[in-house]
Amino acid sequence: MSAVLASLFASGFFSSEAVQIALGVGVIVAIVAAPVGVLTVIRRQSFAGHAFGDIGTAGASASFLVGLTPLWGLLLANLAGGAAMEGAGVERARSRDIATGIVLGAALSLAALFLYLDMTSTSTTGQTVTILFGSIFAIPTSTLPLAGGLGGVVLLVTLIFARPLLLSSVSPEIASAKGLPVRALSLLFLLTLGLAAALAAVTIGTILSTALLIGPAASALRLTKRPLSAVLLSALIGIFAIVVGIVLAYDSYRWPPGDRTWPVSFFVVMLVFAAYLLSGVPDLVRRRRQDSWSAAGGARSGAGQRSTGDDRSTGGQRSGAGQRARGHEPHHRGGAGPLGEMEA
Amino acid sequence: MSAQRWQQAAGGPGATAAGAGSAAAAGVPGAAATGPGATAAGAGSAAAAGVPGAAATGPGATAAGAGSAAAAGVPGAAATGPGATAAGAGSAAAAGVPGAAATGPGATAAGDVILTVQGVDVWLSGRKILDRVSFELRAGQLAGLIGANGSGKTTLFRTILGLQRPSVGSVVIGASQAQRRRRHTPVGYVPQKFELDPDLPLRARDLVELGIDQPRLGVPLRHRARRALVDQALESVDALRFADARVGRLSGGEQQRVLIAHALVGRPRLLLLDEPLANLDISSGEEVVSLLAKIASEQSIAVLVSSHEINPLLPVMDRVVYLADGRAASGSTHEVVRAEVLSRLYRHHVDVLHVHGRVVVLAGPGELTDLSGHDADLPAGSVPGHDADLSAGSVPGHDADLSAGSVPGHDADLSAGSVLP
Repeated sequence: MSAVLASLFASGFFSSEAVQIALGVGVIVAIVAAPVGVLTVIRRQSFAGHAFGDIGTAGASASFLVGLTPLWGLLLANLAGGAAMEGAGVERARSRDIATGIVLGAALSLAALFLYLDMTSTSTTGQTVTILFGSIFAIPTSTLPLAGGLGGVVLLVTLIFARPLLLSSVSPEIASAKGLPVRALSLLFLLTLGLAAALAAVTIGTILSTALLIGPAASALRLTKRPLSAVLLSALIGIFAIVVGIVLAYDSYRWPPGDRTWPVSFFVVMLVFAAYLLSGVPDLVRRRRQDSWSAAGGARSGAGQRSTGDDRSTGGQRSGAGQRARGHEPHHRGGAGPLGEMEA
Repeated sequence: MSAQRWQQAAGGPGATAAGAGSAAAAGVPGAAATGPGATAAGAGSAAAAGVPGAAATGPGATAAGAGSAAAAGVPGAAATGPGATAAGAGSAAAAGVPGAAATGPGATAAGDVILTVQGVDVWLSGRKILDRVSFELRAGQLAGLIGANGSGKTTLFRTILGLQRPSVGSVVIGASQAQRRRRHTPVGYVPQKFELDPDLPLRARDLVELGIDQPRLGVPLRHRARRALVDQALESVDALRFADARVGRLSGGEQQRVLIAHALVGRPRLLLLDEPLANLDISSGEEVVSLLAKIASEQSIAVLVSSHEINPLLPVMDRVVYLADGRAASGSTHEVVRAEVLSRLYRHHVDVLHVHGRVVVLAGPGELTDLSGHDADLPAGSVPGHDADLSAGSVPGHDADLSAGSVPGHDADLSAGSVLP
């Protein structure tokens, strides 16, 4: 038993301060991402979530230039970006995507400049990699209380405004007919999403932050039909991905090429991806069962229909098996992930 | 609901006219037809319905018309005075539906005026969308808001909801002005287009629950009392059997029932439905229509249903508000769907023909249009549709409706294009 534990948790895992901070920040982020992610998926604003990653890149790279903690840069950039997106017009879904895309483009061009300046001032690409892909083991201790405070704010806002946000997400028309300030709620949510994205970017980098926001929520939404359980399930999936990702990354110190850990973000995002694929299985099974049910109905109504029913049933089986095989794919591919080589 | 505040319509003196018709007056064609488009105030005296105090007639400004008097089985109410004096029964619901008690403390007595739209003008980007629209609606009544696309139905709804401010005139719901008390106006609303995501993590009952106490803050936790309210609302639309299904995966008709329950759970006194029949096949449309009639009478609320065709609503409508180019005529179907009234409304000669229990409106030479359907033989008693035993089958035009179901809307659109100036 202890041998298993020892092989799972490499020596020094629990005593390492870096690991403790990483676990603390990671769990905070996973919890915060759950309600925000669920609302983001319901509101179909994943693109805005992604845009915050790019906007955050500009903010984080700028904060390096002036010697600030990256989280502050992420924060300020995302809040400004959220306001800009809302100001550029998000009333209709279509103009919303356009506004998001335009703000995203502007932010990326700023990021290009700041990252260039970062590189020339330090003569390394280390900070660029940290910003883009995160380095959860190098989070300064001072970030922990800040992340906790921010996470608390985000959680509080989403919990307080859960009902109006949910209703205005389901039907803005009904919400405004009830006198809810739909536009203000939309801005409020966008800012909340920006804060959550900033927190996610600290752990797994700006580029991959969306995965941690959207992935667990999207998986949870496929598994449950209740809003509250969707949030709880999403938090559990997120915590699982982060904690297991951190453990695996710590272990990877002993893996080739050696003496270095693989990027945590790689493990976390791949675990989230696997969770998303697996979350589709129950639905497939249900559909397969419905098919065999209708096959049974076909048998009752006549021999001619029975064969079609059986065909459909086996078809369901085939696709179910295919889905399961695909569900394991990320683990296999993990051995040769391109991100592993990028850790400088 | 005692104090009725009548806002003086700034629309001017000529705005109101005598509408002294009643449903029973179907046999009395001589009754004065509704006025020249602008207003047809149906101020049935609530005293007749046994509700004192609600008898609110303006200072001579509005003339009275008895709203669907025969509905209450009081044919005598048809004896309306000419013009100024109000007389008439409120609605069939006044006949005393026991279900009204179930609606709780906020319930209004049947026959009370719930909605008063008075001389409303709405301008949008330099265009006059609504032109001195006036009508009123009482508890227990189901009214159809009939008009082609672009006639102003949605703008009128937005005005009633307090989302659009009229430049002239007023909208009074109960005793409070819609635009002032926007946040607390007890109006239920079911929008026309709703596309609920199939993966939405909401069961039907969760969506209904969101209708309680909005905009209350906090997490949607489940309490026994709230659950009972939700169950009650779902039951009233016959949706309990799919209460626990994912709402986005229900059929269009089922989703609509859930949305109606969502609106009802907030205990509104007025329920607005924007084109509820537009996306339904004919039989589900009939179900929804009779469901709405049942809700209006049992819960004693006013229901306003917009539609571009009148025929599906004919069996259950107590009132019709007919919109054309922003102008409105209102009253019972017998008062409004007449050649002279519609001709005045459209400012164009219009013929109203009765064909197989439906009405075809001919606008101009050679242009066949069907704006409405209304049956000359339709007994007055079947118009209100409050009788529980009123099935679709009891309507003479039922089969005709079915067979021609897809045609009317099309024609109505055509007519709008051809008639409107």
